[in-house]
Amino acid sequence: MSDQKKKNLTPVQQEYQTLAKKREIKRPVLKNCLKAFLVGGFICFLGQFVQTFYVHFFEFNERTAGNPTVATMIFVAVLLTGFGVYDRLGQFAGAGTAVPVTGFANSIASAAIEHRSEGYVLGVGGNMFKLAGSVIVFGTFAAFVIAIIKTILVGWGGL
Amino acid sequence: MKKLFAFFLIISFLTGCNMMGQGEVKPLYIGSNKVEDQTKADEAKQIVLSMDEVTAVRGATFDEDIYVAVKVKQFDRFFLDEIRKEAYDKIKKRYPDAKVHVSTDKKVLLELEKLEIQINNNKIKRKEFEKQWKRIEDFMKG
Repeated sequence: MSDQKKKNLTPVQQEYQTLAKKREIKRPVLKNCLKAFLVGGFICFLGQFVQTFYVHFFEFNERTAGNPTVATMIFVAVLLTGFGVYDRLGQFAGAGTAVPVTGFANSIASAAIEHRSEGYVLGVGGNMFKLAGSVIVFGTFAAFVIAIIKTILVGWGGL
Repeated sequence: MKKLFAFFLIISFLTGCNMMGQGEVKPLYIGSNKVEDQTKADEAKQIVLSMDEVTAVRGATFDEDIYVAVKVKQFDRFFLDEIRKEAYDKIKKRYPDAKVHVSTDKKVLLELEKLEIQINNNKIKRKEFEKQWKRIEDFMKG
């Protein structure tokens, strides 16, 4: 609760607030971080495994193997979302499953599933990028900003 | 749950430490009496392997071209560009007339390894060699 709102409360309410805060279950931040680290790392390990597979058995080198690897990981994540497995994993690991590319796939697929009852055009098509849209917007914007910084550094700083 | 986490932590630390202890792999020196003279590649391999960051090296020669693929230690992978350049300069200094390519790509390493074994066992004809050579060059371009 913000400080501004706290001032408007009666003393009894304030007392209640402090009591409630004391009784509230503390968020296990460290444990959550550890979970996210391990599960996210495991997902990246699987991605690395898929990439090595493509390098060994197909005509890809390390750089070009990235594309089929991402496609495979997205495909697997969408399948798991459809089966309801990825949601449970996400509940357990939090950001560990949201940050890799599989989290992006999950956010699109789950939104599509959720809004299927509203019809294909306005429901699925309109809501599919509700969550993923922010990723695209901020991702593009961040890339733009970093490209400007790099251009300035390379062009004028002579780095 | 806590035990499980402790277990994972210990495992990850242990495997991390064991990776550090991996020794260097001996390169395959092929010599001159094969389909193509490989002495240039042999010497290039020796030069590159003398660098601290390099743990394994594969390479071959075809006409005037020398292709070398190196495997770089984990931490030194942050400086792949510089390592490639250093290796290239070293080989170029020894063979100024040759067309030298140095790669750190895993695919190139694998393909050159296959090619080396084929050359060493005299299992490859000149025409096939040329075909493979073009293929490996494409992988290097990335």
